[in-house]
Amino acid sequence: MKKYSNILNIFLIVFCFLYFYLAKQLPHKVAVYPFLITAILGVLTLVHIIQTFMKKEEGKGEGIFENFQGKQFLFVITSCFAYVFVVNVLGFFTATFIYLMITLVGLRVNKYIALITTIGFCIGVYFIFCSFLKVPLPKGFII
Amino acid sequence: MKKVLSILFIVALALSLTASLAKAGGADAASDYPKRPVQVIVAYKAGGGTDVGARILCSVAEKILGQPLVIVNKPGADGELGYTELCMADPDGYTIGFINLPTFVSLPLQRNTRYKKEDVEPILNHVYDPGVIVVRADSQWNTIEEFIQYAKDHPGEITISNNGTGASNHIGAAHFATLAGIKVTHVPFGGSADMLAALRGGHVNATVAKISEVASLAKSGELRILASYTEERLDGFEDVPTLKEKGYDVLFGSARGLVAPKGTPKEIIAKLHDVFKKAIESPEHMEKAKNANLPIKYMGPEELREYMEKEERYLKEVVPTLDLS
Amino acid sequence: MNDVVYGVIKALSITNLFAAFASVALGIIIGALPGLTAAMGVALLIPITFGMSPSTGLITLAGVYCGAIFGGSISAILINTPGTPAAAATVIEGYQLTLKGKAGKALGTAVIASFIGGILSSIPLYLFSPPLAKLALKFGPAEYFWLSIFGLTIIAGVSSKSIIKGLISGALGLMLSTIGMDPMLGVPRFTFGSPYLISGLPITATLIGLFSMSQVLILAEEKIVSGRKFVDFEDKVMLSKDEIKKIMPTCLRSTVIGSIIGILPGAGATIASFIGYNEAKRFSKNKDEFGKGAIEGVAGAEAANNAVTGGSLIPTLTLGIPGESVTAVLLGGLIIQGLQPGPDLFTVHGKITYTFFAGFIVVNIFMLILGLFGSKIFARISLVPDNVLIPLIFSLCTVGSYAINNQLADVWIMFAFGIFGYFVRKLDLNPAAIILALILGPIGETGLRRALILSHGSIGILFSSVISKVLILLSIFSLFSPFLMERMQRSGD
Repeated sequence: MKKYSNILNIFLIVFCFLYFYLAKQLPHKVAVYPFLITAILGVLTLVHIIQTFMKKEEGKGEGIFENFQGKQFLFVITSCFAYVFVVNVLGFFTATFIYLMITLVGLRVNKYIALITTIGFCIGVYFIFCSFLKVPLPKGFII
Repeated sequence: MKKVLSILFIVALALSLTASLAKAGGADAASDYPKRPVQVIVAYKAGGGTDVGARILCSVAEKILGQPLVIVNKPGADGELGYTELCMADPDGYTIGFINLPTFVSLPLQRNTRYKKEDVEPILNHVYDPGVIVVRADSQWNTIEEFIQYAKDHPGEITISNNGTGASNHIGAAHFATLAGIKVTHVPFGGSADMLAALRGGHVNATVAKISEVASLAKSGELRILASYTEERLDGFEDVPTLKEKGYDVLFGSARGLVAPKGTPKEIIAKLHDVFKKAIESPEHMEKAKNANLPIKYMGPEELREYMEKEERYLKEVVPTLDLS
Repeated sequence: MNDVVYGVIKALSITNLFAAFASVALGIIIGALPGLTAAMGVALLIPITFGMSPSTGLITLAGVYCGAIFGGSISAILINTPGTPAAAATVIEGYQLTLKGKAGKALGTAVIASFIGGILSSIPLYLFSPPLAKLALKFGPAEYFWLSIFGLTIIAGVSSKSIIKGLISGALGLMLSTIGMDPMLGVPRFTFGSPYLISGLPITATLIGLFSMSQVLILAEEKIVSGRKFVDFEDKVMLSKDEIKKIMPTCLRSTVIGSIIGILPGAGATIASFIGYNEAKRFSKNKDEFGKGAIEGVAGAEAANNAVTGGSLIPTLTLGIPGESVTAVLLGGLIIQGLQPGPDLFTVHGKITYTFFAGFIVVNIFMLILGLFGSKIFARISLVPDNVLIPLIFSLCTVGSYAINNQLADVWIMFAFGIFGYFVRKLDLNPAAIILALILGPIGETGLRRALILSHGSIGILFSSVISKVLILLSIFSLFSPFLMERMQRSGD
């Protein structure tokens, strides 16, 4: 628990300084309000640091990453990133088809169910978004 | 292994399928333009003033054009995102868009935009909305002279709301104040709706607005127009003096025109111009525009180009001399 | 009066009934899909209403509006991702109920509360529109400043685990809200030279990232079990008499809150639902249930955000000043139909306006019916295994964040906030507080700075009006009431 509180503390301090540094480069009149917020966050961070120190080491909530599935997590985040990256190149439907198939199969969904879900999703999106609502979807070189 | 293979197979299938579809598109000649729907970029939100005007005009024009005109809203950064998109679009006549003046020419002067004023080919102008100075009907000022006199006696006391620092209404108010030799306090608001609400709620003394925004409020007796920023007196408000006749030589208003990306073939520009001109002049459009309080003013391509140049000169030469604080 | 009767009859015509039914159904779908918001739904339908008669067109828009505001609660409850920003407060209790296997109950509560909020908000719309709108104009910069302060005091209430972490989240939200053009001086702040950030962070894309995508990552890190392990999925959608009694006071309170917030230009359904939730918690007799799945919490948020619909129509129709972002779009639809907002709407165009009002009530009734019938089916979504949900939710996140402004940049902003939101949740910070501060920050900042320009720097303007004083008192009460109530309870024991 303490470990994560300390991570948060470090993150907050870094964030405060970064924000302060950026705010300092603004013209004075514009920077007043950002300075005020920096001060607020600074005080709150201080309170949190003191709280962290005051608290005794408790076992409660230990290991928020206890059940962390590193490989699976990395797989999902990479596939999502790749999806956003190619969606404007390949076009929405092509990219979605590939992304859904790969992710579903990668997450051990039965192949046939994956295919049905993917096709169903694409058709659903096409009807609701394209033909009826005319929501613009990312367009690529293909579709 | 089997899994990987099947995935690869699916990918290959999808790619080949869609690639063959993509070829279906292709270059169009100017002669049989338009063969498919034309995209109209509006750089502001759906439902906003520009959007409403665009939809009214396009609903009439697409009947004449024979192909749908699809309005695409690309809001953000005061219109800069939409304008950039418009300027960078393929100049094949299938992407055109509306621009607001002076915003379109003022943005590149204020910051480093990715488009230039020269990146567009004017088609025609649709709306010209002249500026006016308004106060509440129950305020102590009945004429522009009284207003100026009060401001002279009480420097800095009068508050005038505008739709954002450096925005057109702010410039209009500041130019008038400079010419009249008065000192007022400008209060920026998030948009023209907020700016007007502040006046109607009595939080500020006056505002500089566009006539379409205040015409019905002035007629219903809630607001009073003190003067207009026009060459001649406004239709429907013949007893409102112009600033020019009072000796303050300032004209200002906002225009909305239709443009195409630079490099669009001349024949297509001409065709679009004819179609939209016909649409503007049609009784159906005039009726709809009247209901929506849109002051229509047609300008041809050359005239619109000239107007843009004039606006830019004004922003470059006059605005730096104004006290915008 | 004639116009009122005419309106009721006209609203019950087959065409209008069908329009109401279809648009509510569509609105619910739009709302339920993460990423498609009520404002977008209305914007998308405006071109379609072009060809309809004015009253049918307006009823259609109202149907989408009300349906979407309710629909947002469906995905909030079932998959922990608010379908619209207005449902962000519904997530807090709603998802806890789903985890307990009571998804149906949560949905039922949301439907009924939404209906009560929506239908009761038509009373001020019918009877007091013009005078209430006049009152809304009295809200000046100083009043908006205090309204945002009052809103920010809620943060302590929505962060049940740790108040200090809630406040830190709020401060982070305020920092994020300063990204974009300085509202007073027009100087870009923290935009890193990017034109995409000049208008500030797009709220919806940020929200989708913080809630929806971070949920995808949370699901992805855990071992996936096929099919959820709800031992008994036998919860009923319909509420029992006791339960209705339990949520009734909350619904009525939230309706009043939502209507008031709705009438005020600029403050919308998101703020209302947070305030509604917070007040439900403050006045509840069962405080212990909060944070663990309290139906009162769901009711408090949902009644409030649906009451905003009627409330925000008031200034839109009478003044032409939209009460929130959705009615801003609706206003455009109104003008395209040739109806200028103002007193004329109630006299010259009275027939159309009152048909619209009656249609608004019809729309709410359809929402109740569709919601109650649909909830049983919707609730099944919570049985979809996580490994199927993960890519589907993310794909919808992409569509949603793209479609708001047609910008791929927004998708990347969503992505960045998804990762940020993941750590926020891991470190026990509060995404709801961040969103609340992100929305309220600019209202408070501009209110304060504008007020000071108006008063030429004198701080007295902040304390001059009656409304300001009331808001100050409310803020103080809101800040200290948790301590006071605790004291009182302790001395009571």
